[in-house]
Amino acid sequence: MVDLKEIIGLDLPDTELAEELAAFADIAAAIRRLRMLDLTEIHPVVIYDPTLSYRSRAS
Amino acid sequence: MSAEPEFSPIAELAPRLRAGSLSPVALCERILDRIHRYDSRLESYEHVSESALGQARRAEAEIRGGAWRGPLHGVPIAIKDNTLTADMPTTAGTRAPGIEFPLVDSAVAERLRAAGAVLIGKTRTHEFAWGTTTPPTRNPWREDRIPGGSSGGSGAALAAGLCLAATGSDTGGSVRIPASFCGVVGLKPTFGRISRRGIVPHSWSLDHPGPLTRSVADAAILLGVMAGYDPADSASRDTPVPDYAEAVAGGVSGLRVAVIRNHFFERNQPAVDQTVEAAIDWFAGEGARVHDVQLPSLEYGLGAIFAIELSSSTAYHDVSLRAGRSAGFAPDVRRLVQFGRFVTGADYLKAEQFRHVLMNDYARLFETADVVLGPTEPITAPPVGADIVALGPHRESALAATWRLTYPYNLTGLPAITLPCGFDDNGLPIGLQIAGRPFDEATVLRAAAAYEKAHAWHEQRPPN
Repeated sequence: MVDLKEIIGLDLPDTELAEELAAFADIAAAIRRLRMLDLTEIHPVVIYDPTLSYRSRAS
Repeated sequence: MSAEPEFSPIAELAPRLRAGSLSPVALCERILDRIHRYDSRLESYEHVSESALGQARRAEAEIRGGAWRGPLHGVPIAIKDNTLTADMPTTAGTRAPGIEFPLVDSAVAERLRAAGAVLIGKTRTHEFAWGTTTPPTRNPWREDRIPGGSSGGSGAALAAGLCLAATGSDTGGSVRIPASFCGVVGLKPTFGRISRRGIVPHSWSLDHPGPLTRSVADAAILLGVMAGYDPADSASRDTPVPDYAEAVAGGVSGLRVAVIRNHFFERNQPAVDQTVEAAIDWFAGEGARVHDVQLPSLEYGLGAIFAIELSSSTAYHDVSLRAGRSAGFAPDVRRLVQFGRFVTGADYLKAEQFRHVLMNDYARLFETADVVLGPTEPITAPPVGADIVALGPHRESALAATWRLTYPYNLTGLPAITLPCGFDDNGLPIGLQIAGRPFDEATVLRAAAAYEKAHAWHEQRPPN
């Protein structure tokens, strides 16, 4: 079985990882609430601009 | 006007500097002397410029020669220590070995220098701007209280008369939180209004540079200088910069004011609610058309800001994490930087979808309103070392409490200002927050200036 630490890329001792996960609990709850929303039809506020590199070169 | 120039608004000092009745060199010497006398207690500065007096001498010579550059000419201004400067080191508040930043001017520093400002020093930031307490800086109103953060050094230095204005950056509230806790004005403009070039990134789509000032008129002056298009910042918008100094002259009669009753008035200290309600009543009494609204989607905002801010800061610090350099971060910051690994890609994008919902909700709100009023902070400055804040029966982490009322305007990128509107029984300042439509800082400043003029809370000073 793949190790959780490998998936998240944090090479912490088991006890420390357990502490981090416990400390994350309140934040995880807030994110779980967000996951409950149905936003299927909503475009994320991430705009891909293919001209970006050309704008920077013009400066 | 305050007799001491260090507590006078720039708008009042500028004519004296221009006329020669106040010397930039004398003003700079006075500020440096105050830093020397008081900052060992407050620890608001990370670095004081060796070239400050030289900058002041140049400004004095230029002004005497008739080459006045504008209201910031010869004015000592502090720069947040996550904002690059060519003549002063930048640490971003970290002591971690192996992390260095270049000696180049950020867009903010470039613009302030071009306006003739004396860049007097670098003010402390919470490490990598990831927190709202800014250790070891103390609050000048009560030294057992935090100054807020992450621009806590800027707030404390300004409140204590150790600079005439300061810069900050605001990712979840980092200009407005310390401004509120330290009893000064803090302006987070619209995303894209001020270039982020040369500010150490925290969360790319949430970071907003902005000024902390002694008055609303001063915020208008600094915004006018700091704002403008920068093709080197992908988020910068090529939008006209109006004359903000003109904007602050108007009143509030006829202004349409919305008050969001959920979220912003749910878990506040009673003194905050009473003081902000009195401010809202003042607007109504002056002829503003005040109405209450609800914005139910705000209940999902905390998850969204955490998902975006955690994953962004982890991405930025990824190399440090993998190289083990994050072991040198303060424990609270190291933990937050590691937390980004627990946020999935789907969570991040869902948060960006949610932002669209919230932006649409605010756009609808602004169909019938010109500004939104509310508290900046649910609490006044908490004690140093308090990780948990008690609000009646509720217990909340200091981070969650202090950015609860500010982060909606980072998620939406809308302009928002805080200005003092009273004090609690402990003598700690309370902030009033006014937000507006995208790129309509002028209306936000107008509403704030009218309130400030009628109350003059900004003339209060902390004890020595």
